[in-house]
Amino acid sequence: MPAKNPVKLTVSDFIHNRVVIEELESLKKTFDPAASGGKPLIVSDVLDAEGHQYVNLVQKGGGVFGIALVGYTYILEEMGIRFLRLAGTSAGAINTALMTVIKNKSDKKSAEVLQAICDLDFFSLVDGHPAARTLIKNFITRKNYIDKAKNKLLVVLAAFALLIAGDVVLVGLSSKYPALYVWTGICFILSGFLSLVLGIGISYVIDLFKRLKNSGYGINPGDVFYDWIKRLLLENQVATVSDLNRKAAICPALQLRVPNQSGLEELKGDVTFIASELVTQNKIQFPAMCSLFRTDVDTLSPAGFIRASMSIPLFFESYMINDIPADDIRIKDAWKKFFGITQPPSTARFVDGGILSNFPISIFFNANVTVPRLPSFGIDLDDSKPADKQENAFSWSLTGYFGRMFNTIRNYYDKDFLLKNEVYQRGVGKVDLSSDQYNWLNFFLSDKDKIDMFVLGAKAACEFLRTFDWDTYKNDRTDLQIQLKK
Amino acid sequence: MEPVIANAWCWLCFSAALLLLTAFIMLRQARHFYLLDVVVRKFSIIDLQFPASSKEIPELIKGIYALPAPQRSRTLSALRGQLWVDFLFMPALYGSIFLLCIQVADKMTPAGEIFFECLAWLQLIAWLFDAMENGYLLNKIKPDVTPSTPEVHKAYQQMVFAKWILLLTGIVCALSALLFFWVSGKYETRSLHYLLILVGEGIVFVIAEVIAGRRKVPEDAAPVV
Repeated sequence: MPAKNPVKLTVSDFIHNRVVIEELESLKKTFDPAASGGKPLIVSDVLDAEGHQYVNLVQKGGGVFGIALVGYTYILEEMGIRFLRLAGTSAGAINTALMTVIKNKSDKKSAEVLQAICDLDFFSLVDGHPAARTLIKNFITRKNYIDKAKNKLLVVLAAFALLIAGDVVLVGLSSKYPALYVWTGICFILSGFLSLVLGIGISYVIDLFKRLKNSGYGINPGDVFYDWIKRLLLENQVATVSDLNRKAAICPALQLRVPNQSGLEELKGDVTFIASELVTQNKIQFPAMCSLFRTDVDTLSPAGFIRASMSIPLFFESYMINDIPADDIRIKDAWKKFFGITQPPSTARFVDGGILSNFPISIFFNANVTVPRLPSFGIDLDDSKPADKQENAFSWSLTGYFGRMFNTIRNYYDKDFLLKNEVYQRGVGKVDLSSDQYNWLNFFLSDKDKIDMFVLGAKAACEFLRTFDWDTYKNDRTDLQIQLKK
Repeated sequence: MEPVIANAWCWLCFSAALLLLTAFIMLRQARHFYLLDVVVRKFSIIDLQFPASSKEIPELIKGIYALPAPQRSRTLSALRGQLWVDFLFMPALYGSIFLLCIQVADKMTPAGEIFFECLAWLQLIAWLFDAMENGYLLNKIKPDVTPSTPEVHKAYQQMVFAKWILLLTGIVCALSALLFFWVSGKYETRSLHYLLILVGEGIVFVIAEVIAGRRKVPEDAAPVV
């Protein structure tokens, strides 16, 4: 029988998906001035010589939902939109990093990002202990896994109790009925075996918890991810922080569609990854805040910033920066400047930036520009399940209660900005991932799920572009700036 | 049928004493097991026996070499020392299980006798696997350690699993059967004397452990790096 060769996912599977092609064609027709009823797509006043329109882009974190981000950016690129400043958290940081380092700002990058996704075995990112990997896999992919595991444990405990009772009863009976002698022996041996199984099970759980503690409360080391992203950065000639900054800043010659009092000055590209630092309890923006950790920033690894940003607590080990020269005056000055801290720590410990700012659109707020030259676009990943949206305040499980509490805390920082600066919300497109089919921690995605998520991202981008009105956005943001200056 | 070993109980007392003595030494050595993997962490010999992947043993050993020099040499000598002491621990452990199984076989029905004698002799295979495992690990302890090929890693894993299955099956079956004999009163009174000796050895071991555990050795503390 010939060996089965699994068909490998290709870039074409994503971009030549029927829905994506139809959506894109329809969108292009909508924005084709030559077509009947068509109008030009205008989303920004900043253009390059080839007519690409430039926007700032922030991408939300959301585990494997990051594939939807690629679907979204693919459509934007196909519609001639390019990205000047990029920011992201967690999965958003990964796409942000790849879109920063691949080729040049005026080029399309989605195909290369998709190739990286096709080449990656997502499950390899779950690089913890095999038992933990199996547990995570079952927990995420099997429905009611905890209930089933609980039932199995009850069966084992009941069997153990029965065997012990059997031992006692058979010992008593075998003195009267010698024929039971052999069965009593067997019952004792079985009890011994079950005791052993339970003992090993308990020791194993204790060992796993010990490992969890020793690894800084992270199930997976995250080394596979680090190596993967580092390799991709190196393949795109980004080895140091300076390389990253240079690559993010390089722009083609830009021009304005309409005159703007701010001109083109200070209009340059950059990149930001958000991470949460637990020792000093701060939000860190990489690479802008690298001076907090090293006097020579090039001794830090840019791959580490993305690794830090995606360190989902408990799921991945924290990312550490050790040996911070805390007594160096330059380091002290940096901590004082950014956080008012006079005694810097010697080690910084990072977890996912999403616990503080999963959608860091606020970093694009610029008080110095009255009339915006380009919009800040955002890609929001909405994975709230119907149960999460219910306004019922009572029927919650314990996990539901803690989940809502955690979500309230982690989302409010960004939500507060959007509530106070409502106009920024108009640049945000939402990808609906609320279906039960998806789980943001499901690193065991089928190829179909990956394509489906990409399609959802693409559809969300099409819907967003159809409704986005640059003139209204610009006017409202100008009004906001004027109000703030009063 | 002639017993395989005359006065197995007496031999068991000797082998258990050696087992506890070597275990005591190995536990002392295990107190110095540290590695540097971002931060200084403790590890145990079990981490080397059940690596999550072929990379884990080299990563762990590299973590030891990444420690500051004094801590590194302490950990390396403790780890190598434990693996060498383990060669003394092995005959005591597998010998004890062998003797237990032989004792039980002696009191069994013909089928049970064959089963327990097989189980006793299988301990020699477990011993061989354990010795090979130690040789493999001793060979791995070097600064430029590389991951084994998937085949070698798989063979190592299977060897470790086989060893544990054989020795645990031996212990569980023998102890369960002995418990049954004692509970049902089918034992010779003189075996109780040996049982008392074994319990006494166990108590001495626990007391020694408690006393040694109370002694704070400065180098036990994880170094600050």
